[in-house]
Amino acid sequence: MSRQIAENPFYVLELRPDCTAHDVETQGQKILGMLELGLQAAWSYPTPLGPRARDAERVRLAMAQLRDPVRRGVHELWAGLDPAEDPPAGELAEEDPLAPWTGALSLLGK
Amino acid sequence: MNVFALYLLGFIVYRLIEALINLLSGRRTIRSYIVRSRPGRWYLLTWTLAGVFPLVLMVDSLTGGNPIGWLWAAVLLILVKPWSSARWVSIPLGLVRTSYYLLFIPNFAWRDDPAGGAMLAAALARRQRPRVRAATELWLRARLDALGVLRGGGVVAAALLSEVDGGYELARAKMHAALDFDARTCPRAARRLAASWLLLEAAERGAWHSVVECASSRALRFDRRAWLLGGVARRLLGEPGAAGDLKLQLLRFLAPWRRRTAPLVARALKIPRATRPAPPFEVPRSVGDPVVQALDLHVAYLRQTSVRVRKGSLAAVANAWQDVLDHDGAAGLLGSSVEDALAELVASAPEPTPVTSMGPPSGATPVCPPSGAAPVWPPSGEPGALLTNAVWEVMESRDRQLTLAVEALDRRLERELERRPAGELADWCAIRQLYDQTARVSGIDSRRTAFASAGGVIWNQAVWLFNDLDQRPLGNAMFHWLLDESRATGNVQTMEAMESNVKVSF
Repeated sequence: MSRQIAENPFYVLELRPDCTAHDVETQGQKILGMLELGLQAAWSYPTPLGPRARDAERVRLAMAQLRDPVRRGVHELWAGLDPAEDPPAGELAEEDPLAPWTGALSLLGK
Repeated sequence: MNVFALYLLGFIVYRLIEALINLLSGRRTIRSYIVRSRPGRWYLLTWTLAGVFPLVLMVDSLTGGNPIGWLWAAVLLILVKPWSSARWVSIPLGLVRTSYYLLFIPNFAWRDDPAGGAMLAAALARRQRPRVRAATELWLRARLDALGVLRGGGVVAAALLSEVDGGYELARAKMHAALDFDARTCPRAARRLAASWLLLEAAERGAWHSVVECASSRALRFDRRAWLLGGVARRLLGEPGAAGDLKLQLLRFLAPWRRRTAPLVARALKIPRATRPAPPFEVPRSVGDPVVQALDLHVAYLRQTSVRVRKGSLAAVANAWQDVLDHDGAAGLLGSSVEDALAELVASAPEPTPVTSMGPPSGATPVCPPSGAAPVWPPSGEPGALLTNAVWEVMESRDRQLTLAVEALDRRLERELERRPAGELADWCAIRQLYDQTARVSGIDSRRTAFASAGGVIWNQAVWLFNDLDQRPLGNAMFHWLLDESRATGNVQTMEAMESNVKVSF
């Protein structure tokens, strides 16, 4: 899975590349507060590759990455797509014929 | 004197004769006589066939109103058919030590590897339970370390314990190693179990091409499960000549696990015969901005499941990024992160990425099929530099890991530091696992690179095991693997040497 997209700090903080430094700090503190309170909305964040798990360490790392102007520039380019909450219509709507057969190994010896 | 008493008396007399012969012949163990001598094998065969008598006696006792006879018959059945009893009773119940000691009773199925058979029964029982007591776990690992000459059964047992530990790649390497053993040192039950495990593990991963390959294995040629899974896999992959609807239903009826395979067969029946599933490659949402187009293709590639990657789609992603780096002035900022991202895609690609045929050169236009499906990039063209570099980067990184492991083994061989047989097997299989990862990056080129790194040291290890450590079955299996790899990579010198090594008697 591509870390540049899945772990992009903008997606972690649910911000877009045109946000300001103040937005980054405010949003970061807000999400950290939500995590401390145990709010379920803070446990995951949307990305173009689907939702990803989030914790306090990841949020702090994202804030630190966006404070560095060079790293922020790289992350801005990788955050060019809007994160999708749901897959686009029609995509993955049908069962994938080549999906793995879960639980196959449990049948060994039976 | 009734029939039961006669049967029991006959069994006791048999054991006494066996003990007397053992004493007179000076052999160390009863089992070594039974399993290694022609008269011993005759005794085994007759007592295996005699297993039908306890069943007759059971029916007789139940109809005759004598329930104690049922108990006697069950005990005799266990003594005469210990492997069947373990498979149907103690292993499903997860009775580790019971399964182990049950296989100490001489039996026909494990005559060529009695210690390995006992270890394998214990490993199968361990596999049934998510956790066991620490004492049982330690006992089991100690038994594995205490195995003397390693044969097929012991190797499969070691593989199953690797699976229990969560090391599926290592377990896969060990199962393949078991299939490299000569048939005289790997009982049929062990070969079938190893081949079945590889088949089911491939299906669990969704590696349907591997399922087709495993289903056609010689060890599973009479296995109904393999017939079914092979037929389903070919149908899912859309191979020409795949089984029709009626044949698939028939195979499902013949095979066990009918309830579990019903959804899988239903999935296969939805695929029209001999056509491929529609590729899920997305149409780029925006053609104007090269960065957004490259991101669209990148995300579309990742959203495919790992085995549905269409040939050429990785090259299309790489070429889109090449356009960004060449024309968008972003090479300085994005260059290294794009290379890292492409290296990740190459490393996780399900199929090898040959460096000799890549996607189209920059600026090529896609071909749009008349049906309006997603555009298709032309498959041939100039090799894309970005993807080629990513492939070589991944290959070098994996070759480096392989070289480190091989050097560590080489140092150990130089100092002649011996390990337990299970440890020697683990060393070989760990290198084999790294070898397979390196070899599948780019097809034959990476395979030759890997063999150049590892072949010589593995040869040394095989010779040491065969000549000095008396691990002849394991050494012979390694010679077989080296022969296969040297044939595949065209290494004539190694091939000629291995062709004579595999014929050396053990």
